[in-house]
Amino acid sequence: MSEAAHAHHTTTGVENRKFAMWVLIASECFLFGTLIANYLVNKGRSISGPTPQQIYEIDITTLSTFDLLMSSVAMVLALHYCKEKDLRKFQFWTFMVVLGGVIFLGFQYHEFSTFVLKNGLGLSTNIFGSSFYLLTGCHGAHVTVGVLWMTSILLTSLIKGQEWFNSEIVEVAGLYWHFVDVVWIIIFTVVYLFVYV
Amino acid sequence: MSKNLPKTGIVSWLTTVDHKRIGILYALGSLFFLIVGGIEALMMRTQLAVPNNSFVTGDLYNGLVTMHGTTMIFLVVMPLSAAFFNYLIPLMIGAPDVAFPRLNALSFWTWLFGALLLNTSFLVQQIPAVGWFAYANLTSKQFNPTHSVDFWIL
Amino acid sequence: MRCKGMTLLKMPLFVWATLVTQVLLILSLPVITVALVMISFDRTFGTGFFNPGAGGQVVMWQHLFWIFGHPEVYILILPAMGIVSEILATFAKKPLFGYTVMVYSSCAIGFLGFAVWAHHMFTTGLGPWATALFSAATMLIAVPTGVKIFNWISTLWGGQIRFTTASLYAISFVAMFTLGGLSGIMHSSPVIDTQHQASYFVVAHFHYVLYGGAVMGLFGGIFYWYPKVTGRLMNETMGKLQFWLYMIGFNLTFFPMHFLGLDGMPRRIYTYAGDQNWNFWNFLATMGAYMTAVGGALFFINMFSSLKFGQKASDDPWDGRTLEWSIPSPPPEYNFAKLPEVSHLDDWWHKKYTHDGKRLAPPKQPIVDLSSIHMPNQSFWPILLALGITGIATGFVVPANGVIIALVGVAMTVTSTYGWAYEEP
Repeated sequence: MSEAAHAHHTTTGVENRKFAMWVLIASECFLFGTLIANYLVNKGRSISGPTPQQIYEIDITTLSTFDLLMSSVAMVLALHYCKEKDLRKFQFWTFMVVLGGVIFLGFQYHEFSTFVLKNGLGLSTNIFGSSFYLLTGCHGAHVTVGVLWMTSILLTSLIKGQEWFNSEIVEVAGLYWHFVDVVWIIIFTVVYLFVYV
Repeated sequence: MSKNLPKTGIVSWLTTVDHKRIGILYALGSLFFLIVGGIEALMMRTQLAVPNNSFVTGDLYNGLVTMHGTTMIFLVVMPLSAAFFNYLIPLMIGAPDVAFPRLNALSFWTWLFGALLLNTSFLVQQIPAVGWFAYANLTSKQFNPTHSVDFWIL
Repeated sequence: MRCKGMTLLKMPLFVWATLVTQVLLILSLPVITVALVMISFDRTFGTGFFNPGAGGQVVMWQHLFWIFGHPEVYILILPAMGIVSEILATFAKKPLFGYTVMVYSSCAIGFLGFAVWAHHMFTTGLGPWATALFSAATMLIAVPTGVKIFNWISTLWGGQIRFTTASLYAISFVAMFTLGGLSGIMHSSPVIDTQHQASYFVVAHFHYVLYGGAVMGLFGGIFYWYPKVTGRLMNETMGKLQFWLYMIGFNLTFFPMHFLGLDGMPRRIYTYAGDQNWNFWNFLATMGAYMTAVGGALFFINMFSSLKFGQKASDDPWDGRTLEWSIPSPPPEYNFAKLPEVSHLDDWWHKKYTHDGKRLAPPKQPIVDLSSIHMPNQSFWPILLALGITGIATGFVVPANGVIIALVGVAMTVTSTYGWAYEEP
């Protein structure tokens, strides 16, 4: 097993999978950076309505932002209890993370359907709409991946019980979850709050 | 399931996670496309050898320009570089394999299938004809996973 | 996963070049991904990102493309630079001149590579400030590149140069890349660039960089490492013949394009009238291209025949400097029976020679119980996952039944991801 022992030693001082996640996050920064820049360039260039001022429901979006932030807190607690090897609490908080993500996606579904049905803002109605859906839709897809990932972790833990305490995986998933959360805070500020500036 | 896969023969190459084998696959794939891109270039030069030539039509020529550029850059030089990275980096830094062997394999196969998809446009006569910097089928799908090529650096 | 003692500044230059390339890839690919998604939306769902009629801007595509596209150029050339650095050091029997500076100039190229994208767009009317800034940044990036060229020349200077096919390719890389680089600096001046835009001069420029540069470097790499990969040497006579066919053919093809460009021949035209004085140079270029093709055919013959009839190679046929020459050719699956320990840059060289160049007794291959070495298992999930992703992509392009194909792709993708995650590596 000498080789295997060597395989785990790394020269950056960071575990390989965690390093890979940081690399992915660096890449994602450029992805969302491009999307946000695109939104800022295009939001005022629409030929016809509706405009951002007319349709954003800031109270509901604030609520969903709060919900996503709380799921990040749940993530921290889940990781904590995973390291403490407290199975029940770990499973409870992982479930809360999943729940938070699902509620957020519900909010997003509500938002998109109101925009489309009530305000008549489809994907190709105007360029503000296109940029908006591209940006928030891409973020929503990331949340969905996160929810699926956390669900798999929860299920694995429920099936395997005590013997499965893989805090490395949970930590990497947590990194991803927090990143997606931070991106949302930027989107919330730039997309929803800048309307009032 | 994967424990008892054969160590030689075609299946072993399809399921390999060895960085050296993946490097060789990259090299063979990119050299194949070097021939493809080379033939495209020769067709263009033949057309231009004498004025008012009619070896290919204008539309086909546009398609050739696009595909020559795309092929040479994305299907030859980049993967041939990737072949060297894969084969040599672990050897040069004294490592048994790359950090994520299976991800490495995924990268290669996605590249190969994407490349083949792009080139099927020749068969269905819808060659993208807009220069290498424009729209070439669904190149996005080709690229996205290619990121993963990069994770092995450690 | 670097072995013991392999600190960052003891890594071979090729490894450094790779590292910078990967950083560029990771940071520039998302931009093109977004741009490609946007254009797919424009075409599939009728959005108007690049359609002025809907408030979009065509020039946006150009920006997004070149933010990716210029780092991409360095992605293409940096690996070749790394390969050439290794080859030149080996065949000059000298350490690479100015190794540390080479490392830093690679990083500088990587960094500046993100700051020069708009020099492809001088003619789109960016305004004087943007034009001036991008012009200056472009001239700036010539500095680390120039540093590299001087370092390669200094590496060769006073060395005991052996002219093998690999070293011929590497030397020609330096020469051809310098020519391509010079015409590149000409383009950093917006005034000249406006004259050259979309003419054959540009075609000549980037073929000198990519073909005379990247491809020559990669061919050198193939000849250099072929014995390591296959355990046999490639035929040197055929190799040298191919090199000269390539070298002469390449210059015949692309050097006249400079003249054609200055004479006003635009690129991407498929025919031209006979009375513009372009006939001779074009004919010459085509003949050069045929010559290159002969060289290419020779290469493939050489590659496949050497596999069977090539001379058997020793573990270290070129008297190399880096770790890969310390293990058998071809290397065993586990690479190093015992992971090496490193104390110098070019450590393998220092294990073979003393400081004043005397040969030491060759180090022996360590004897290790091979059954103790654990390697990752083979897996068929990667290829299935790749098929799934391709299925989704195909679904978008196929007109009929696209949705079904895409759904099958999604199913395969999800299954393979889970199969992958729950498999013992």
